[in-house]
Amino acid sequence: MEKNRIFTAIAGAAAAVFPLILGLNEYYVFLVTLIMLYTTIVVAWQLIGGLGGQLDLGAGAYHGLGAIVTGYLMVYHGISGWVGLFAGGLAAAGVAFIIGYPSFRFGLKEVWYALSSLALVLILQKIFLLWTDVAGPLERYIPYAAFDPIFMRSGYKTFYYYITLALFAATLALVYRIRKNKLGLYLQSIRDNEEAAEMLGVDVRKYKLIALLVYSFIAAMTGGIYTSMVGFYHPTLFDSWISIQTVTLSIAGGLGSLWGPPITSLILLTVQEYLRITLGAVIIGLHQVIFGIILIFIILFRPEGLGPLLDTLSVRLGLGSKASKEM
Amino acid sequence: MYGKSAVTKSTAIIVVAIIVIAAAAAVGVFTVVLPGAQQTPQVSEVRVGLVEPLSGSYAVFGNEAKQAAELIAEEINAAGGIKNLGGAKIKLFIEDSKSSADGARLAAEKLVNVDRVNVIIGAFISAHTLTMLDVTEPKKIVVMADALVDYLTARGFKYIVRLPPKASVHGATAVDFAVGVFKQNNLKIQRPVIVHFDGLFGEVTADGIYTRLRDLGIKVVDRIKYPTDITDMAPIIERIKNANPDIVFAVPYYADSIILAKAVKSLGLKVQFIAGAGGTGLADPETIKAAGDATELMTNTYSYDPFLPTPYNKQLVQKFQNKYGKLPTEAAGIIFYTLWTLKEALEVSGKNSPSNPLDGDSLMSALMSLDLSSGPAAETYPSGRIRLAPNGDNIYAQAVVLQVQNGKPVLVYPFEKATNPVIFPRP
Amino acid sequence: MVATEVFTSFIQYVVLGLMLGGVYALAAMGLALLFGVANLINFAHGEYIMLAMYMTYVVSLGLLQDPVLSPIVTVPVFFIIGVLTYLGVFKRLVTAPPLSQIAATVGILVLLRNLALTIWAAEPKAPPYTVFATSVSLGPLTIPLDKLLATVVSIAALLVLYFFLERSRLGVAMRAAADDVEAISLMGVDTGRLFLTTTGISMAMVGLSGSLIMTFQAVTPTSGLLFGLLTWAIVALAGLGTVRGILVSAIIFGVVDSLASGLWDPRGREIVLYGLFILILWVRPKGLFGRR
Repeated sequence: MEKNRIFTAIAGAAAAVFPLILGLNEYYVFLVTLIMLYTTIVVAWQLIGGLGGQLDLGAGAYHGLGAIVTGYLMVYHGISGWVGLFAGGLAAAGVAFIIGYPSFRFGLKEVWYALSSLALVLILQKIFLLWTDVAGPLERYIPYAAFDPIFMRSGYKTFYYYITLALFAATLALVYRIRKNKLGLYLQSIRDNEEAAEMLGVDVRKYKLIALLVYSFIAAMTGGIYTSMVGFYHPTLFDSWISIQTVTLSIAGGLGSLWGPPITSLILLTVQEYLRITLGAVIIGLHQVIFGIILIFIILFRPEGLGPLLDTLSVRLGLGSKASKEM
Repeated sequence: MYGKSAVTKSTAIIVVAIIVIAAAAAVGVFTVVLPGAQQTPQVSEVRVGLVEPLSGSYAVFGNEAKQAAELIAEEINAAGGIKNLGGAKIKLFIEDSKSSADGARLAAEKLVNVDRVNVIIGAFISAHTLTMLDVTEPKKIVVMADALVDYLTARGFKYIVRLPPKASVHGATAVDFAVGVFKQNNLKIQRPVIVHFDGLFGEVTADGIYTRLRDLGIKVVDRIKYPTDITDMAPIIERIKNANPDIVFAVPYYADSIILAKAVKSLGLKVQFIAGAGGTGLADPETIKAAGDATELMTNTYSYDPFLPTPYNKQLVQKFQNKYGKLPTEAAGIIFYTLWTLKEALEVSGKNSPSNPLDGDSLMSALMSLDLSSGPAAETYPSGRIRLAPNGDNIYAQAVVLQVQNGKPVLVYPFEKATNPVIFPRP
Repeated sequence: MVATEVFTSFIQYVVLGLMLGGVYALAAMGLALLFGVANLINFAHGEYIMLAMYMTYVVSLGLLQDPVLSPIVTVPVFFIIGVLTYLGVFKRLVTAPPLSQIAATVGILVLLRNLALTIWAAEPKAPPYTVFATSVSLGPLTIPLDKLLATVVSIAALLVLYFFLERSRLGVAMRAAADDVEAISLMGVDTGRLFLTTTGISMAMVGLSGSLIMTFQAVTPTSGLLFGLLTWAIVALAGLGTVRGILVSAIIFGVVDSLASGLWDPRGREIVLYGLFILILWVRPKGLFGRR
């Protein structure tokens, strides 16, 4: 336990001063913040995918919705981004409810839920493409401010780094707690055997729905942070690639483990950025192909993902017992 | 848990860890941030950033721009670089915008913060160029835009110039040309239809067309928008047919122009004339190659005239063709005169602000002071003259019109400069 | 616009939609076959169609010129691709839980889509003209010959498949497998070989439909996603089991597609199509013609 705390303390301290280590270079801090944002979605996805056993492909929809709502409020109503994050989260949870409630209610098979959540990304993109009062085909730009913490806008990426770090840490803590408590156990039982769980009196629909709402809320917040950071929004923020990336990183990291997905996500996304910087301009898109190949290999030959590997490793390092990692 | 000593021990470890990390951080700050902030007093090179779509839907344009930039930079350097800066050479830093706004912004971030460029040329696509300004304006990095939308110079941005004619001028040129052609045949435009893609550039150029028509008292029968990534234009052609136009004005990008041309042919759309605006698609060599004879007799407006008969231009076009095997059009042309104008500005800045010639303010004032009517920059510009208004636009901006005749683009407007007469109407 | 003009327009869009439907039916049939017979969820079905479209592009550009001739190449090649995919991936997935099937085929989706991006870049690609790139007039209506040809060939292929399923031994075995896999394996049918052939046939149809689509449309790396969702939606509406069901369902989608693009807005197309899909899932999860 002691070692756990020390490890967390060191990791936390490193994360807290990381921008300084990067020399406050805007470009590098930007990349790291981006990677952390996407990893946050991966961690939140554990609720619906890892624990709830639903292959949700809606991350792109929720992230995009958070971005558009936050951006719109900032641009057209001068409302602070902080409020925007919250509003975006609510909007995403609302949409998620509209899709999730009937899907879970009718006990639709997994594939139909996966497909409809993917369809949601495209539907929302096109709706906002046509809704010119809010978004439309033209980019909308958020007014520039060098440092306006109340409005939640800054020209310095470090500002966003810390916001994202807070969200990331909070999400990790949240998922950790949920796994331990009743909600987590219920979700696990649903994932392991839905029919049995139902017969035992577990309200399958309610718990899946809760997991979905929490996850979509968080995903939306990452979108809001993103749009404030880059200073504009556009319907192309509804990107199916974010959905696919989230799912594949989560699976590669191991559906049942807590640390597997975030660590895998941080590593692979960093590798991807590195490849993009070095090779990206040489052979266009090659980095994504490599990414795809790595993922297929993991899925086909190590379907449990890297999670168990990391668990074993951490046990060897003396961080926590094997039992606490079991899912 | 094991008593007081254990607690203080773990606390001590944590404290040490933090101190170590903080020290590392401090080292990072001092070795990377601070030295970078110091300006080297000796100027040995001018770092020019180029952001273009080298991959993605607009790669066709970005790659042409890149080729042009490399060619001109090499010419400038071979001729001795920037004389008033002690022969400093131009060093190009080329980044791919990946045909997306995010990509352009990321590229700008890298160029400004990592490569520390002095000026950025880019990003061809108007929407992407705007996102770069968020990064460049605060740091006073001059952007020489090769994108056409009017906004860029209308929003009070301080460090931006744009040499090619803006989008609304392209639109107006297309109309003036069309009106002229109809007049030559004793006809008047009565039922124009505008069709354009729904992005920023499409909208603004189409607005330019609409406004010009309106000012001439001509009413637009229909204005049709389509998504940039459309793959099947049959419904669009249907709608055009229903409007029964005598002329269709089109503002496409590249890929959609190919699909449009082919759909016009395969669905047998009969209209007297099809005129493009905006410089992308329909009448350039790449599109002609991809769409085959479907583009025959279509026109488009361009920011560059490859047939301009000035000595330098003729020589440059030949050189470009020899090296890259194709005729330079919009993307390359804009780069030609933009880079040469930069060179002129650098010379002026080197003379007027010897202590900080590459500073944003020095460069901007140098650019504003230029009035070029000779030299390579002016010789590659359609109107032959470059002089910037306070908002960064060229006062003497002019667009030309090329038509596809027998599978080749030829200059048909301005009528006095045309290499060939316009072929009208469509069969 | 005058009433008759509006009406003619409407009919024109419906006719275009009917033709689209025929082609979509062929595209969706491969999926239905795989899902029905082998109980295999192929999330990458759309990407295979996209691959077939790109192959048509390459073949037309290089060898055959007219995309109408490309099925000569794509059909056998895709049959082989189907066999290889089965041996490489699907074989292991047939017994796996649905989530694993989805996850693995999403992996294939990622690979194919990014491969397409790398090799062919993001701008739409279309082959040179088909000789059928003209249209005939039928009264006030214009019938584009390329779409008509694609539809005719698609329906012919579906008819062939129908008779195959009804009359041939293999076909009957496939239909039996759709009903009860354990029963037929008890009766001595080699389910492995059966699934292998099913995948091959499914992919061959993908190859053919990809080629046909390319006669009148262009392909981009996002085409995979669009066709994937569309074909799954068609299968959802049709339920599983019948060729006729797939055809009717596809025609409905085709007409909706055409009307949405023409009368409303081309960008509204996806909203209507996928909105319809989600509606079906809520209202009639078993589809219109389902047997299970």
